[in-house]
Amino acid sequence: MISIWRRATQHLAFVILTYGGRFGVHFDSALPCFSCPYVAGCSGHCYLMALQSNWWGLQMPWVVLTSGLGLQALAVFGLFVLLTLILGKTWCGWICPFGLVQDWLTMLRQRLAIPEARMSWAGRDRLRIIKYLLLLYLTIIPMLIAHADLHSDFSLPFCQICPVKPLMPLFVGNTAHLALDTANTITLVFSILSVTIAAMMVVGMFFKPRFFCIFCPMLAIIHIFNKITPLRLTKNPPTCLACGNCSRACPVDIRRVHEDRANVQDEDCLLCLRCVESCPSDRTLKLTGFGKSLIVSARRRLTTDG
Amino acid sequence: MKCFFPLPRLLLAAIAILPPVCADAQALGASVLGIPALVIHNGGHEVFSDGTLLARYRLSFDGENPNGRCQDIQAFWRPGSAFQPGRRWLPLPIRCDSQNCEAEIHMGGIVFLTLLAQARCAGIFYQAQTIDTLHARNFAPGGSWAAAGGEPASVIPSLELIPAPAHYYPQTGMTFSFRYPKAESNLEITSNDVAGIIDAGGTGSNGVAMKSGDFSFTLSHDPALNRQGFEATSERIIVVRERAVGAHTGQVSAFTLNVHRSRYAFLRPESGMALFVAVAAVSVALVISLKKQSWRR
Repeated sequence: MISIWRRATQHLAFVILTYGGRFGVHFDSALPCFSCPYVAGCSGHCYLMALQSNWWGLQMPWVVLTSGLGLQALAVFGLFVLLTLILGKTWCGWICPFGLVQDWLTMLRQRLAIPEARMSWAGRDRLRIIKYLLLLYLTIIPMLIAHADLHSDFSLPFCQICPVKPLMPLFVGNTAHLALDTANTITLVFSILSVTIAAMMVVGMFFKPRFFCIFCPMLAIIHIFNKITPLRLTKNPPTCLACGNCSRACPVDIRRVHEDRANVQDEDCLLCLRCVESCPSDRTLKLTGFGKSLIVSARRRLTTDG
Repeated sequence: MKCFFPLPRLLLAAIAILPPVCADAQALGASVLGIPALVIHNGGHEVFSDGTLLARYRLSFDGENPNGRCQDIQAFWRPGSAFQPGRRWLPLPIRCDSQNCEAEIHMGGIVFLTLLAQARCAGIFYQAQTIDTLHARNFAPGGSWAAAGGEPASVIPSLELIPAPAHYYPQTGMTFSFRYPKAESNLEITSNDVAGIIDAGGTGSNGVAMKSGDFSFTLSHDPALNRQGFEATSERIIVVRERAVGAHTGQVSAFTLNVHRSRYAFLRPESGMALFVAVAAVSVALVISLKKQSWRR
């Protein structure tokens, strides 16, 4: 049942975020998910774009931060923090349009009865650092443009290599971002990187559920606020049967949920609640909000859901 | 044609997906206006810490300071294009000294505007126009906009740029259409751009006389502009001289277009798709080759 609700929410969010702008829906540029600004008619932009843009590039740091310009930047940041605090990682598991695209590829693979690729724990742990490196990259480059005269074609450095940029506009019939931009060497190199990464990600996402989420810098930012978000995934270790269903069901291979600890929310957790859904023990895993149980594991749910 | 990114090109050629990737660019000629003209030059935009924007404009006559060579120098501006109904020209103070003649617009909000300057030099009437988009970073209009309560001026632009939505962001490769209302005039049209100027009859080229008052102008690409950042602009000036006939002294009109490099002309979708398919195929092969190691359902 949780999966059905999640799928319905994801599809609704996909339609609203991808096409809502055509019907006057606008959420500004503070969304903690990949609602790509390169999609014409989208209803809101991913906050990573605002984070990279020039006015957040701190061209006049102290003056800007005390001016209308700074207030505008802080307003967008404040809205992003608010949205992140309210829903936490559910942005990733329940709302992110690119997350749904990844889930579609997984469903397609399952329909074709192609087995999932396995990634070693060690390999996965090594890749975790990439999202933080990308976060560093997307904040430092705009500052270098502002202060070190870096060529302005380096602007929006993450968007230029983000696989979402060439792929999501396909849903509105725009293939322009899959093209190589031969205007100059910088644009050409960025467009080659963009198309290459997009192709690798499509294959990766097909064989491995939520493959892009391993590298997603948005997930890294949301995780920074994880300690103060009211939505939490918790576990009651004494009632755990240690069956391992939870970690097997997890699309991002989180081991922590199988361990004997109360706080099982890992930095890569998407709050998709597949673990809660697959847990055969009553009230062992639960999603809490402001200390209250919102969704709990139940043997009954497992049996009725099949 | 000179290719200016040899290394990436070699990389692409190595995987055999590279159709001609060098921009089909033509080199811009030097400033070969040939006709003395009053011209508005964009002097740059400056965003202040309160988010408002100051746009500076400089006037030149025959490449030099018009101060002392011309009389009755005046400038005007209006939001929107020059020929949108219901919009009026507003006087724009212009400061002339021994170095320059300059005007400034300080405002907030995001505004597309047209500027016009006129002067009489050696007995001939000269007019200059340009379009510009001001991207201030605060929320509300202000500055010159708020101060523009003065009497609207009665100004008749001699050269009309026929409005189009794309004028909001002029780019190389775009075609601009103009109309010189005195269609019966004997016109001489030239520009500092090597691109051809086509009259309504489909004939003509740069620097030739035309009978028709309607003509279009396709801006050539510029490799030097391409190498600069996306914010860089190149100044293209088009000059129309109405020849003196009898007692009529004739007049000269100039239109300045500050154009960015084209966003779309250098995109190679076929190359991109080919690269995408090639990388995807290699990635699939890699995953399948690793299949023997460990899989799970």
